[in-house]
Amino acid sequence: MIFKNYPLAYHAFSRKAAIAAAAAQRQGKFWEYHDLLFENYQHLDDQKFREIARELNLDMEKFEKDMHDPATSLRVDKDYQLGRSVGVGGTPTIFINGSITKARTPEEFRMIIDDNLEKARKRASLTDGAAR
Amino acid sequence: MNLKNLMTRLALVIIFFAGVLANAPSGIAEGAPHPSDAVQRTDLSISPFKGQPTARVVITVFSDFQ
Repeated sequence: MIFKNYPLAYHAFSRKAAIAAAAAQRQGKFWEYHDLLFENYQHLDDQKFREIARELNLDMEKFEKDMHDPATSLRVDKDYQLGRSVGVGGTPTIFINGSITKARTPEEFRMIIDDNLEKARKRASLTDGAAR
Repeated sequence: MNLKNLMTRLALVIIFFAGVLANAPSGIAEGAPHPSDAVQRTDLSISPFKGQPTARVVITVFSDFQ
């Protein structure tokens, strides 16, 4: 599963949250930071970003430095640009094997994932057959 | 919790369990697996729209945190 940042302009701290998560990634804690951002999505601000970083025992000096590193924000901006280039208009937008899906229920996701697994199995058996 | 965040979290939970039930994709080319998940989660800037993924099912979520 791949996470791409698509911070919406009308969410005041969305882009900064994405940058903070990217800074946490530089210390190998992206997903942990990601989970805590969602748990605190109603209270996001600069102080909360630091609180979460401390809670995850990040090196605070490095975290602050990475937060202000243009390369970190560029990473977020590249995700956003990729999203725009493939037709993302809002969040969440979900792609399964490169195809956008409007699925939102467990049954819909299960059906699409099962379908893709079946296709992958067929491709693998064709490849195996061709190799023999 | 607003609807969008609820949907994002629901989608992630669904994807996780779907991966478990489907015996999980065998792997994504790069990225460290989350220790407690059967599904590997990667945050690297690799594009699912270019090249051939090594996982059987690649799920890409565009999201924001607010």
